[in-house]
Amino acid sequence: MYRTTDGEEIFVVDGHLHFWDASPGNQKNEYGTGWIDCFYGYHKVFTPPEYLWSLEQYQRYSESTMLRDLFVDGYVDVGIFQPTYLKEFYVNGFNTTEQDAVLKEKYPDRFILNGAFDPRDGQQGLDYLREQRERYAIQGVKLYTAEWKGDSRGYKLTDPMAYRYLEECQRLGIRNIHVHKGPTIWPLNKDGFDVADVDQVATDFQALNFIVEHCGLPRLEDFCYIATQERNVYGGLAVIMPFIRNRPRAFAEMMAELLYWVGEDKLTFGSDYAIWHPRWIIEDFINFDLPEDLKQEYGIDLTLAGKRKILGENVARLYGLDIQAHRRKLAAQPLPEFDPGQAYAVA
Amino acid sequence: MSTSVLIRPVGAAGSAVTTIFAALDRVMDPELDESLVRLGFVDAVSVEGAAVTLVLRLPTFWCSPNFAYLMASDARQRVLELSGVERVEVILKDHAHASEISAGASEGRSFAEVFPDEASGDLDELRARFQRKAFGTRQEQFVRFILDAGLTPDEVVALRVGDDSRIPRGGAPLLRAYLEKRAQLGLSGDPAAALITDESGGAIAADDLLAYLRRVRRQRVSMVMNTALCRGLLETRYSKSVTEERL
Repeated sequence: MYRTTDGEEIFVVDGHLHFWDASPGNQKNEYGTGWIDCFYGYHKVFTPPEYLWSLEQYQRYSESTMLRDLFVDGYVDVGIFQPTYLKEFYVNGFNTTEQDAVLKEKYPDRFILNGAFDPRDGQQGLDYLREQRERYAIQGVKLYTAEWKGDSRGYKLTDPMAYRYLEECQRLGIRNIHVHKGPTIWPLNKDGFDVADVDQVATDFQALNFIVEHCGLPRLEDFCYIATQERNVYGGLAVIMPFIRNRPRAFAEMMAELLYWVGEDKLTFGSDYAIWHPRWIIEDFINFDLPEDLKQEYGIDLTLAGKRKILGENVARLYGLDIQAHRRKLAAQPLPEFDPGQAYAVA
Repeated sequence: MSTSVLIRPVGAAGSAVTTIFAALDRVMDPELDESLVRLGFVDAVSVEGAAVTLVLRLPTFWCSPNFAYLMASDARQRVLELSGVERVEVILKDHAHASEISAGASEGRSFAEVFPDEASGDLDELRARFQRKAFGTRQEQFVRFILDAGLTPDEVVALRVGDDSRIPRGGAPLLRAYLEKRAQLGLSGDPAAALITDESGGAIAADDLLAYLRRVRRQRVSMVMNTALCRGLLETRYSKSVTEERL
């Protein structure tokens, strides 16, 4: 919960969280090492000094660190886990549904747990999808179309098997399909950032919502184009938000584009924790004003009401979360005390 | 990117290295529309007789192999064109596909030959696509400049390629950058040809100019963000000791 200086309360749903294990013992090969090093670069490039972690802490962080960062220090009320398996790079996977489920089971009202599928897993994968639905009542999945599997370097949502999986999602009531379309490891000659496949499946699966994580960055223009065409396409702001601190003009221009083409009802906040800590991002976002020239040029604004939608209301709607009722529920469940000495261990 | 990453020309080999850097300054990252030298991607250059070795570095271990390949091949090609150079070896360091890309580009092989299972064609189409984006970006910057300087949309769309004298003061560098991309796309360089056209040379109506610029602007916003990210990542990646000290 964020309280403005006027005493207004803003319910925050962090739409993009990880609880990963990239510790050296879990790294399978140089790709696993390269992956977390690359993530660490993203952490370092935008994180203010007082929130910086050491690589060692970043490779693996504890449950209590995560809980404190999100719910005590980070203004977050509810967080959504977005698994990223990477079993080719990590012995037990990088951040699987099962890993995230540990926290979901302990704090069921604090987290929304999403599952994952990979259409290259065939019939067995369909069984696994059903199992996740049955076991965790998942309402959403996170897809990483650039994931390596054997000799394959990725898939498209328009692949015939992907259609079977999406049909199954529709049938099971797994409504929210989060698709990673952002900085990626895949693109060879095909442009792996390409969002065209989302365009087609969004048309073909009207009962599903497609949340394009990272808004197709660095192909924002392509994402904006399809988001205006498709009623059920949303933009996840993970990776975009942290530009706010040291690249404010770039952030402002991008928000102007997104607000103009996609609109404040279809954008969702995500910190991408533990890449970034939600606290400074949310503080900066609340205090952010669109520059006058962009307001004039685009004929748009970003008001507190709009920020409220982006920080929580939009994604709450996608997950059928009643904010008022949920606030009361959370108020009755105090979090455990955390040792303040653990805070930002390396800062 | 600071120039400290550049190898300073020293002694007799100095002028050769300077010439090589000048050549590499014309090799672009197609995605960012910025030169490899200015981006800090050139880690080292060495010359031994007629053989040149180029060491390239990128912002992350996972930077797209397709773009990496284009840059490595282009860098080799440009340096090979210099007189007195007979062999160019390109070494891409710290990358998931470092060995394939280094060997392939140094031997002058095509991307499709090096990554037969993953590439379904060659990189020409990708290059062309990003040239069109760079065209739009440079054009948008130029047109905004001349609009801000007081030209009306009617005047803008009426400009001809040969109309240098009608370009407001200070607009020459943006015009030059734009004309360069026009030429690369094969658009007419005839002084009487329309200066502000779409990427295929089609006319733009004065009434449509602002809507057209807004569409093009989306590409520029992407490019600006991407450049900020790549520069930042490169900097943090290779200044580890500084950051670690702070930790």
